[in-house]
Amino acid sequence: MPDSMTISSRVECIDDARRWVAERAQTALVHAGGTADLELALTEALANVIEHSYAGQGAHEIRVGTEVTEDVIRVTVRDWGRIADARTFVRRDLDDPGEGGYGVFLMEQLVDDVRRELPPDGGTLLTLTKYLRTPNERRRS
Amino acid sequence: MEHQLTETDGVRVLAVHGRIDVSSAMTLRDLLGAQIDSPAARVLVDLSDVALIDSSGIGILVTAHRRAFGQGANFAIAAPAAAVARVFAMTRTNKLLAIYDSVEVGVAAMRRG
Repeated sequence: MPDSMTISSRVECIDDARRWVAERAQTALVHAGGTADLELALTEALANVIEHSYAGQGAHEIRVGTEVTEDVIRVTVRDWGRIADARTFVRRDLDDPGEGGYGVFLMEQLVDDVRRELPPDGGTLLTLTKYLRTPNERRRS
Repeated sequence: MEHQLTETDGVRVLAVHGRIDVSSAMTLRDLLGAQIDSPAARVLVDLSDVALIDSSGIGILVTAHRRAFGQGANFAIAAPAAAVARVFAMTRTNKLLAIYDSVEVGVAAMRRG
């Protein structure tokens, strides 16, 4: 059943969302490290929204949701800010370590699917999907 | 994020506790900037009690490494927990940063270095 909470677009609020999602993930995820992966992916997603969609302005809303099914946990991040062009996201060349550009890369590595949608009433809906079972476990069932 | 700074055998050990993310990365940057202050500086960051590090935290450590390298100082990481070590591996920053298994091993190596 979908569930959601809202935070302000301030970096200090990321921890509230992370704890809220972690509580739900811990009861759903069966493989080790899954909750930590989801927490970090969510951290990167929220940091991106605050920095890019809301340009660092803290007076806006971000709605974070979770949905657990038999096979997956989905975490959604909904904002109503500026729509970022995914093609312009800075991506770090891993052979040239530096201060920035790891965020989107990490998010994509930590979950099984990242989907970005543009709802008709504005802003962006990001969905992070993590399988509840490993591929081997899914094949066996 | 909380921290403690101690010194052992001339090595400054910065023990960080909690989570390093975009809300605390600037604090970490300032802490490291203050410690990497001369070519003689030997700074070891103890990550044994850090449960999460995000891309901004990784960036701060890479910058500290480069700052230390540029000054001729010595900078290293110690004892990252599995979740944090995994992020170093994913970003391949484990190939750049000096990472020791424990604070004791790190202090011993940096004392000699």
